[in-house]
Amino acid sequence: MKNKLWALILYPVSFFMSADWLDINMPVGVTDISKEVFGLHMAIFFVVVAIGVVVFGVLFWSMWKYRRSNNKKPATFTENHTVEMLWTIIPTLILIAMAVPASITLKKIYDHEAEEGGIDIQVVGWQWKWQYKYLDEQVGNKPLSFFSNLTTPPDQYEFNRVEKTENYLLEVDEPVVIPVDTPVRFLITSNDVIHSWYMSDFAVKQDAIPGFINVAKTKVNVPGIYRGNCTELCGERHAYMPIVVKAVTQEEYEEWLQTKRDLAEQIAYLTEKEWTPNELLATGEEIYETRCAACHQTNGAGIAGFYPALAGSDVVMNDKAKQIEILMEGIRGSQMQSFAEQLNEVEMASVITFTRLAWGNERSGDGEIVIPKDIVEYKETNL
Amino acid sequence: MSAVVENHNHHDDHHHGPKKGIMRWLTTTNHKDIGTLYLWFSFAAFLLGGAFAMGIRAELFEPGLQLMDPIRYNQLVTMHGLIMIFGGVMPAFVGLANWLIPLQIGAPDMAMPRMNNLSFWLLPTAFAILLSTAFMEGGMPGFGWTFYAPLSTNYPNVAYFVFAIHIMGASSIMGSINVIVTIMNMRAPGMTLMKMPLFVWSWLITAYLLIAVMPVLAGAVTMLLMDAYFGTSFFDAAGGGDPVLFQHVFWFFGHPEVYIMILPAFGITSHIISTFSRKPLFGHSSMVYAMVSIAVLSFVVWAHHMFTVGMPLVAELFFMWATMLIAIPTGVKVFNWCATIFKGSITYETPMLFSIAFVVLFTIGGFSGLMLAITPADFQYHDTYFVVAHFHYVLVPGAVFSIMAAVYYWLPKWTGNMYDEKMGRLHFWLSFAGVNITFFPQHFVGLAGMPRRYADYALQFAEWNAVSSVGAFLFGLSQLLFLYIVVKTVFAGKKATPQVWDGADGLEWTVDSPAPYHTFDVPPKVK
Amino acid sequence: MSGGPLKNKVFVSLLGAVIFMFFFSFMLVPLYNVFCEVTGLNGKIYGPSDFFKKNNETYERQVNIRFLSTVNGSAPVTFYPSETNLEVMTDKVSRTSYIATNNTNKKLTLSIVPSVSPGLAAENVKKIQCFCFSEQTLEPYETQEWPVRFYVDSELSQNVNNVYLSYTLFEKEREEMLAANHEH
Repeated sequence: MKNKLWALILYPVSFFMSADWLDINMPVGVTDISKEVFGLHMAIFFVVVAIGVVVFGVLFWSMWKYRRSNNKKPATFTENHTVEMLWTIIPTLILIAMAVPASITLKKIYDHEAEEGGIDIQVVGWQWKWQYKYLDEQVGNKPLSFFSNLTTPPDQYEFNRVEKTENYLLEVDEPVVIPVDTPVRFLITSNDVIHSWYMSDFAVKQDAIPGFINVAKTKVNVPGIYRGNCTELCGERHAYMPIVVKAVTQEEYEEWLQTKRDLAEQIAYLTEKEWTPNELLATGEEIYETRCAACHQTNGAGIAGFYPALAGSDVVMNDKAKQIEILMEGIRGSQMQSFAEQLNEVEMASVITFTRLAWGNERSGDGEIVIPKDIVEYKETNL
Repeated sequence: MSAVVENHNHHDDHHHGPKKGIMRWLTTTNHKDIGTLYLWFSFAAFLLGGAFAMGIRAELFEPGLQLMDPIRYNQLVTMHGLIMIFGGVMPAFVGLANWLIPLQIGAPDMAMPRMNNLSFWLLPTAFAILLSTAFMEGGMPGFGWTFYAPLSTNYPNVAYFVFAIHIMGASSIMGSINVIVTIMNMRAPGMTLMKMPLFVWSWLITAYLLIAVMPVLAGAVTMLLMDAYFGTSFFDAAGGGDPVLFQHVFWFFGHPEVYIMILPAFGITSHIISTFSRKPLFGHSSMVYAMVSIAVLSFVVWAHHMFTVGMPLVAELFFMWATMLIAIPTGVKVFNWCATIFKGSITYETPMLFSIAFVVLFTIGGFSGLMLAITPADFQYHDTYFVVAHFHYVLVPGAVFSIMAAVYYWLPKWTGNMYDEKMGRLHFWLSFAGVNITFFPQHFVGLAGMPRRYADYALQFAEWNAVSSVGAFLFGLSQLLFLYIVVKTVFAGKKATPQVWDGADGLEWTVDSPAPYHTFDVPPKVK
Repeated sequence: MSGGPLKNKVFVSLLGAVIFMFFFSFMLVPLYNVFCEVTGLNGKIYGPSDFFKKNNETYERQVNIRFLSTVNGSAPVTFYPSETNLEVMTDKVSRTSYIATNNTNKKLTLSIVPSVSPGLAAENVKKIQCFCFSEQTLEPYETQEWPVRFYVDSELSQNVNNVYLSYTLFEKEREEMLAANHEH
């Protein structure tokens, strides 16, 4: 009893002690523009606070001074042209004083060509992930491209089964890497519905609209990892498609590009290798958690009426060729996307193998695994 | 038109109308009955929409998904918005208009009583259709009350939503035609336009806004329906359409809609502040001009809801400047209210408390609105909780508080009984605390970058969201007290005099309390 | 009110206003398109341009034009520009192409929608030949090269030296399938 009482007192105390109470203002950010925007924000904030103090001051003072017990006889005036002129003209002047600097900053934000050079990254919003294409970097005949998926495991957000970690819902498998002190232009569009690419530290928010392209320019001054979100309601998992930007020095950026190029070569080698089911299973499970579990669920049961179950599915158990086709092409007219561009051959084979062996599918079905070579063959015969 | 000319000046109990039982309410053409129906409907919608809000806040009490999946969460967000706007605030104002406009202009009834009955009964029909989707496969709409294409065009059950919006729109249009025709044709002799009480003025302007924009909303949902089911591509880039066009059409309706939900509140507040300051309203005609200019400006600022869609610089500048202009007439109104209080002889009954809170908190909402108008800063604020805080400040302590003030103010006139002043004040202070605890912290999380319409959020926002949820439950539960107070007043309470408030001025205070079933069969003379 | 509402002038004019506003909302569609065409509001390009209408040719400026591609709704098509960017002289006709591959064993009908950024440059990117003017079809597993011939008008604003030309590819059938999917 006594313990419970203590817990009752201590819980709120510990809650108040642990809180980020001071996280209550707009970030200053790490670009020249974001600093200017912060300045505008603070300026207009102080202006409205000052107006508030004056207006509410007069209001509260009159409310106290002219309460009935203090003032039995009300005045009867209904007009005063001087005051009325004043309270029209003064606000107008204040507004002009605010609008001018705002317009100047806005003009700067819109000047995409203030500086020469820089890099172009095409950003594509998907339900519910972001794709980044580095237009200046060609791999084969296509731009270097990858997807950025949420990595927070469902166990952390569904019913809080496990403790949440620091970057809960703000962590992705592959962040966008950009060099500092270089103009970066994000060319933003969408694959399906409208999304919005929001990075508070850069003061950038730009809608991703299917069929149209929007440009947002930024130049980051400080290396670091910056986290943002999608800010246009885009359906079920709107809250689960974060943005992570890693700003690095020019050298580190070059290095990173090199590793991406090497990786492309490595994949070519990996597909030739002989794979054991266990190797594939390990990778497969990981990919399943980030790419598939959101809809088909960790236990493969899906959600009745929305997402079909994989556990016990005839295709997953017995029809290897059909399953590869579905992953490669998607199911048209449904939420099931084509993963041909999202997963490489090894990843694709691993995740298919995982679904064919997990949840008792191995026992009830044919238990055949899919190796990267199968995917390569599929591509060769079909494409 | 009412054929019965009754001269029952002492018709004490207005629950005995011409018909008995349920048929009275189904077939009534009496403006007071219809007003009552609207007000109760709106209160029911307010509780239902509030229950949805409680669901939202309960889910957001801590990070993670505890109570519902995100599909359900999006449905709650959408339905909360739709119910509160189209079922809560708008019908409440229409109810007040029905009760008060004939009384304030000295008319026996609304101009078109049968259409009045129809326009009310369309509302429950529309909401029955909208809510029926809850029991269907695919569920309720979950694309936000703004239903942006192409998210909405590919959503299940969108046809029911469209149909419901059409019916609600028809109801509002009929209601506003009725209001305008009544005001234009049925004023008592001597009541010139500029002598009209401000509530009537505010509704005249509101009704014109409704007539101008509800058909546009109807057009928008029709195009949406055609895109979804008949293969057109108004909003589909694949067929040569443009999803941004949807937003332009929607906000061409949506921004005047925002003022539709606040102009009548301006009227109500003007009456109440003047009554309890025992002093005539400062600047009656400048109030009218301010409302007219706000209404006119509302048609040229819509794209400030769309600063991030990628408009060219010129458009952004134009909409920023136009939006900032609105602060001037709005400021004039606030200054006029302060000047009315200045040198008054003020008492603080419940309606006055709600009205003062309205002036202060609505002004705070106006301040954040001004901040949102600054386009470069809006790139940070847009679609974050800062916006949620802003529009809840203008809608809850704005529109909703003014409706509550109006109910307390005119309730003695409607029921003949005084409400319990102590309970009324308790209700006010609980609501006031609840509203601020709920919505003020949302400014903080918004500035720190929490996007709106999120079922789940990062850990840094946890504390203020918990505070906000506690405030929401406080606010929500204290509305049950409001229900209790109103019901109690309907059945019992100190008898009210015709004048009710010693500072009150206007034709409605010249008739008995409760107002007889038929009033002003012989038009009064206005000097 | 005697004579019923239909005899009332105010009523009739309000009813007229309602009907007008309903049709006005549909008129917003062509109005918006005209407005966009004039101002380049949404970076859309409307129809082909005739190069020979231009009489005084001046190759005065160099402009960098960058090509982008997006496949909408994860349509089973690989679609990318054959060149990532071109340095072009204004008023001089250039040629480039996009490559598209059908990754299925079904015949696909595609529509491709262009978009230009900055939006105000849209009216200055003049296309003489483009695959986006009409629907395209791809046989099963077929690869096609789609040419674009265009020039950048010298009236292009002086502050614009980089233009982005983006194409988004939509699969026709998928749209219909999504619509059909609704009904179930």
